[in-house]
Amino acid sequence: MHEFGPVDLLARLLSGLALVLGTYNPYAMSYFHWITEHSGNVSAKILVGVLLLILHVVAILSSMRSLGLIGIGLLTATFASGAWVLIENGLLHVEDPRVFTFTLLVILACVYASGLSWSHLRNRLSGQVDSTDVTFNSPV
Amino acid sequence: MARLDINPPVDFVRLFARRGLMATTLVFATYNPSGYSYFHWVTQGGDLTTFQFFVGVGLLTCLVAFGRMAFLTIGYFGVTALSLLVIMSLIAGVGLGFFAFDDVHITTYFVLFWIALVIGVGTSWSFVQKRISGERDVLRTPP
Repeated sequence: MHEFGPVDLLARLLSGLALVLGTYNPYAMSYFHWITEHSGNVSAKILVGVLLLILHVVAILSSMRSLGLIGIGLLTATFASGAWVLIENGLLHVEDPRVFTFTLLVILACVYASGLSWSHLRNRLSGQVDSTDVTFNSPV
Repeated sequence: MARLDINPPVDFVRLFARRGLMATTLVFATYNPSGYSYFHWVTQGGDLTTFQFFVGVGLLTCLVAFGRMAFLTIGYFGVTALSLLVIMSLIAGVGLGFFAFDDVHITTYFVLFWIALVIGVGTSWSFVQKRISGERDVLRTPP
């Protein structure tokens, strides 16, 4: 039996960061930069784009299902106030718009990671099981 | 692969001890009358700093998560039953002569431990139910 532990949480956090920052980041080396600054390879670009879209949809839907709107709101507030602590203490310079965008993207990745982890954490903490009713067409 | 027909034994004491300790830590970190709590840290320190705000939002998130998990599992019936159990244990203590009724003071500590007990039992109950009757507590897809 494998229990959900810190390593699994870290794996989801890294995957979320890779997904979000791979799609767009304000510095370089992202899917956005690939399609805007390089020509050619249209079919590969479409393939990677569809793949990224699917991964984003999976992450967003699982976050919506396991956290709900209240959970997403609370977690966003937690991460945003954490960023605020860093800003207040001079560890993060958001006067640079690139750093500001980067901070927002990292917060989004953290919310993705929490959404992918929370059902596991909830099951480990309280024994409750999150489920998807596949016979009922839910909006999420 | 998690199989639904496997029913491994559960160490109930350790199960409840860990979750009860977690709930007690959370409740007492938010407020307790000793003077060392988030409430006192915020109200006695002058202006609200960003770090205090961050800790407050984090505590609120944890309390909402734990409270909701506990309440979803045991519901109004469980909260009522646990409260009745606490009150009846007081009355039984009086009836068996361990202490007199005048000695019973419902202090703030007592209420805080009561809340922590409800959250601790609430987060443990799903495991107990799964072990004894095989029923899982399942959350539906949110609308």
